[in-house]
Amino acid sequence: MSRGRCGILALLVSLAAALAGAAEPSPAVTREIRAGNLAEAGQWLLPSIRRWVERGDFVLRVGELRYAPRWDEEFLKASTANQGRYAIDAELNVVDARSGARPDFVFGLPFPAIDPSDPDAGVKVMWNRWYTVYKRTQVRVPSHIHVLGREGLVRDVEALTTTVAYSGREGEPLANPEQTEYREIVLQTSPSYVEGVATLTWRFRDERWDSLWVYVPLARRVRQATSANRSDALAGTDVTLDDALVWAGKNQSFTWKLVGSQDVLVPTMSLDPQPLHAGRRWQNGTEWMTGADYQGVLWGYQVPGWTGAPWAPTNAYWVKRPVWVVEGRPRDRYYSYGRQLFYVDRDTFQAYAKVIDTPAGEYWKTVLVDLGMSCAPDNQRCYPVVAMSLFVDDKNDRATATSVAGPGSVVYVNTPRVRAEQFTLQGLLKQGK
Amino acid sequence: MQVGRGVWGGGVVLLALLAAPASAVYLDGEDSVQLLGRMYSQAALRTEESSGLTFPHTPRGHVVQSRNLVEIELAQALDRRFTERPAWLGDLGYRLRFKGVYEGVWDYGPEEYSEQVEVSPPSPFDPQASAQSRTVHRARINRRILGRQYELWNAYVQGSAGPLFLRVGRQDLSWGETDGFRLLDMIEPLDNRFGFPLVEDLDDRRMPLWMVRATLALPWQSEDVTNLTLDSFFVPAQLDDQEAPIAPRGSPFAAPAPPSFFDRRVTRPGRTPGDSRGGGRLIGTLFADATVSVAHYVTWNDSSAARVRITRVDLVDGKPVARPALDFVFYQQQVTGGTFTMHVKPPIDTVVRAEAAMFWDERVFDPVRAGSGASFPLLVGEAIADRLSGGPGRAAGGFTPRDVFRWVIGFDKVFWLRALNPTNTFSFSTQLFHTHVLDHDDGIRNGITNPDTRDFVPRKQDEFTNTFLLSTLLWRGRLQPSVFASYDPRGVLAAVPGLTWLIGTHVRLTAKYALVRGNFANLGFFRDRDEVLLRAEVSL
Repeated sequence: MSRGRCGILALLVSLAAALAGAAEPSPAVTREIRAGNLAEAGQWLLPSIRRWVERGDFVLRVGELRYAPRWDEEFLKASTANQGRYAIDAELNVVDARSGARPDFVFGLPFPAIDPSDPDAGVKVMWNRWYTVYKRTQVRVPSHIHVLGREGLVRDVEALTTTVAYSGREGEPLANPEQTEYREIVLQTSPSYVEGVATLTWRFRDERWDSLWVYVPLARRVRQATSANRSDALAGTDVTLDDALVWAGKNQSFTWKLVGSQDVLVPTMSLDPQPLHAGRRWQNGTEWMTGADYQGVLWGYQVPGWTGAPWAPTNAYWVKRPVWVVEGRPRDRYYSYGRQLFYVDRDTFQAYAKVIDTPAGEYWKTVLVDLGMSCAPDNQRCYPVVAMSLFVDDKNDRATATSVAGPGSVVYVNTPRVRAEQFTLQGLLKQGK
Repeated sequence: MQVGRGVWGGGVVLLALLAAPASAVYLDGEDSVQLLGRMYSQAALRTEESSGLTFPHTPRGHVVQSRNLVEIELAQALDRRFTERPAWLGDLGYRLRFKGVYEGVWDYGPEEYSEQVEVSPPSPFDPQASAQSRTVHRARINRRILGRQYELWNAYVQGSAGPLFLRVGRQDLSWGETDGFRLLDMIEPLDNRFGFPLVEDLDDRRMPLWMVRATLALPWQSEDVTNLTLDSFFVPAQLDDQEAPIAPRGSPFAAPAPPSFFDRRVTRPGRTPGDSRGGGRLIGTLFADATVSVAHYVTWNDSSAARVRITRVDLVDGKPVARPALDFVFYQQQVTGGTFTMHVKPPIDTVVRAEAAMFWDERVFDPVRAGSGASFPLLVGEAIADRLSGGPGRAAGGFTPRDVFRWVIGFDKVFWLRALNPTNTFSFSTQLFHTHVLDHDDGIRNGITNPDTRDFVPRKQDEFTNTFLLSTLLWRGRLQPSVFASYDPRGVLAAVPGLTWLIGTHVRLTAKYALVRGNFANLGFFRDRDEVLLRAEVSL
């Protein structure tokens, strides 16, 4: 066969495949939920998401996971071993159940079994959630933040977040004279006028407030900053510091109450675990990284002809997951938000969503992330690595959407590219221009 | 037509950027070589007519600045390139920044700038000198000094070897905790020619230096003392002798001064090893709350010492004719000080910043000792005596060294005013600066002539300045209003309300109004320079 005929045949085959794809949902999608068939979603939708579908902002491609989300064996084994080992003290710290002392190091879920009748059940769920994040150990996450309105993109910013966990990390504990639980640096990388702005956060493993330093390129120096306004909108976006990954706040700064459990539809970019690939071998095991095969998010404003909200994730599947519903209320009277409802997976303790009220009790915002179960081959390691975070301000009809892992955006987990000594003042000075 | 094409081309770029997402620009497949940049056009208009001894006379509404700036920056993190490097080696990278500035006021600005001419008064030693010989075409001089600037602004490489971090090359370095005005932050010279200080970003006025900067993480840490770091720098004078340039006469931002028959001489920093800048600081965190540092370094003082010098005496028809000059002498300055910063936790929730430093043997200005006023005839006599005894006829006034102690305390507070801004906090910052001249006497003055008394303005033993800054973000961060104010108890009030409007990701428009009111002291020397500044900036 000539090369020309071969090419035409290939074109026809791909055209037919494309037409087939356009004619009906792919086999992975069981149905599409739109305004007209909203009843099919049953009670699985958060009230805010139901309204988004009702007004045509979102179309939900409902699918079924082809796996049962669960962490790797080592983590699960450690979690099982933690049964009964820990308790909660009056300041909401995790303490040793027998001695009441704060443990130097915890690995695995500190509270693998949640008893809904336990008055501390809410905060225990939230501690479990943090320890699923800490298992990433040392992580490097690029993110692209899109500030969106009904008219589309307002502006965008790129940032690089690196964190090191002192508790809950894989491998050996680090020397920790400062008694920190984790440390984080958020470095803005684009556009030019914010490039180099970096914040260093130290979170302590007790009820103390975080310590926060900021490197400001315009001043060419590191400045100490207040860590108490974690509910201030970041650079005019719809995101606050405490909103990252649904909940980046300090558990001790809230009061918690488990208010129920239910099944909800949550977004996922893949019906299989998202793939992680082995990177370097180092003293703490294997570095894992996302690759070109990681399914990233495509926002509405990026899709020609999309008629829904510019911030709708257009290529997400929506799958049913069992969740704990935890109510959180800030202890700080100046906090921007009032009551918040957190939706946390009953099996994996990943937080998928929170619904935020104003201090006056009126509904305000919804924060969503995708399921983000990312696993190495043979599930030898699984980590929470998300492709998207979405912060919808329904009161003002706008949103901020963040693209995280994706084909062109590599996330590294348990990585030697991040070193503990970077999370110090001298580390911040080195990053400065 | 070329101009027309250029404008259209620029417009297309602007429109494209308005629509473009931020995506950082990387020049390689591994996203390690990042291209950054910005360009802006900025104009400043005087909102009041100049008065007193300000030169040139500038009517209200005249443009005093038309700056066009472009910066192109290239930064690369090299760690990913060298994956097989030893574990102790890291933070490898480099950064290059090119800066080009064109100030158009000297070419197409109002007559008092583009055709600036000054006829100096005749010297009493040479009263017959023609007006032509006393005529200075300042526009030509200032066009050459201030019109164009193209420089490799930053060029450095860096790397870590274990606890030691090194950065070598032309770079910026700032120590201290203050905003707006500097105290311990005297390592780099400031460009006094670069616009009106009240409205310019401090960072734009910094002049980077060729230096070696070393940061050593010290191993002595405990629960109470952490982050202990020794930070040091060295600027070899053979490589970099940059001083803080003085705004030349005729610049719209120069200090007011009467016309003079004196020549003007500048004695710049030397280039011997002993003229180098360098020093160190120990920085650490106490109780995970307070950041503390102590520092000692040698730099070149941004403010030159001034004196009168007789550069030569000519014998004309047997009569001695002295050539006097104002001599601006830059000199090395030793600085010893420390800083303290702490976030006082809620409910107070305030960041406290403090700095204190002793400036050893700073040269204050005593006009009599410097050879001015009553001592001028004596100086001339000394030079003539030197000439008559076979010398070149030189004499010079002296300097007046004094230890000067400076300190500042500042408070930063963020707070909600939800009725005005329900989504973003307001940020308020205040600082109190104090300068104390040890062994002060009444002869010490500022080197500025009061237009009313025609005498140098007295410098007090204790001078205070109080600054305030209030800002917030509105309209999803598109608008950033701010107000900066400064109050000097000698009766000077300055205020700079400003507004920055972010259009899309890449375009920023800025408007500022600088206002100075009050007595003729310190910032009040510029009380006839109120201006409106407008800037349009495009960033990558």
